[in-house]
Amino acid sequence: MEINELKEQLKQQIINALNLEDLTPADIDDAAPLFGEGLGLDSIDALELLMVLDKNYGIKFHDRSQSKAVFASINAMAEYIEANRTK
Amino acid sequence: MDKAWTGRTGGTERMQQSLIRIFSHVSPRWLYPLVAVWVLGYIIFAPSGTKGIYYYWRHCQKKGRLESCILLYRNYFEFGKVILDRFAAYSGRSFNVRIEGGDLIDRLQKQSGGFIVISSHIGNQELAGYVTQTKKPMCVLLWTGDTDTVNSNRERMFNRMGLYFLPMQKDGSHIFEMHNALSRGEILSIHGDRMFYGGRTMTAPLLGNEAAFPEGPYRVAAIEGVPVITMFMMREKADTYTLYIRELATGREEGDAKSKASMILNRFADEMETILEKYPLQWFHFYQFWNQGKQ
Repeated sequence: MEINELKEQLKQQIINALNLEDLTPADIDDAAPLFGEGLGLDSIDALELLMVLDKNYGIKFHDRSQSKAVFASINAMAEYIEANRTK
Repeated sequence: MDKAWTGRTGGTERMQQSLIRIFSHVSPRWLYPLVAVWVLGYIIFAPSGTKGIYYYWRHCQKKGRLESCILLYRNYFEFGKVILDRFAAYSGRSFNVRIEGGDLIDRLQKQSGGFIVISSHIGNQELAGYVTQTKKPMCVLLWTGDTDTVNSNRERMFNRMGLYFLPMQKDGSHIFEMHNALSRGEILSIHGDRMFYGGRTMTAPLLGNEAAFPEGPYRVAAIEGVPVITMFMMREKADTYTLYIRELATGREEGDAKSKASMILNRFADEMETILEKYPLQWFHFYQFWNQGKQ
């Protein structure tokens, strides 16, 4: 799968998981921070993202410091998925 | 309940350490008369707590003004006894405990997956952890802003009982450890009725008034899709407790995370109401719990 295609798929999965009904994948900037000023997600939303990665890509986190960098933006998530996916 | 909780167990470190030493020789009941006087100080000098308890009796339990004042005092006295019992547990003293619903926790412990225990500040919650025989490791999410004496004794008790605690982090990063604990098939214990670092809330009716609860425990339970139970450790008389274990979710419920979180919260609030009908004096939220703006 192309990285751009993966990013679009990921955005849709995030919208579905977090019930961001007002947003479309086009509204989410690939480089914008997902937490705080960007999409304004909180730590429990991070748990939803964790489940998205686990369920769809077979990725599990054992080091929480690593997750901060991975969830920084859509770009960071997509790159991490591409390198670490097991499904 | 829009402010973060900053409370800690009353008394100085030296007093707390003395209590632990005393209780290795005598039953806490011998100090109850002292507590009956001691709590008057809290009623007078901690007006926000007094106001919160008065509101509970006057507007939620629908008592008259004079009766509410009397029950307010009895409520504080009951809390004092429960705190003494907690320090007695730190000193190694055991209690007579009857367990209701023990088959539920036995069944869940036999399953391979993890489950969540949502606890409340009703009764002697901490004692519940010290009497529950857990076959799985139990991860207890804890506010660690208490005194060093309380924190170190908790840690010692936790180690003895096979529990370990996960400190709450202001940035919410403990969420990852909670997820990992459940993934390993462990028990995760979370407080379901207090805001520790502020954050988002959900509301549910409790005793006829709309009350705000922290959103976190219910969303986590809904997202994880694991069984959820609650426990109430209720004081019956000196040295005697009943532990009530109730199911809030099987983990097989249908629906999106938001509706499942709401369902779990509403069941929790229902269980709180049921237990408060039987033990109204063991309500230990010494602040304005109800979200009056939404009444």
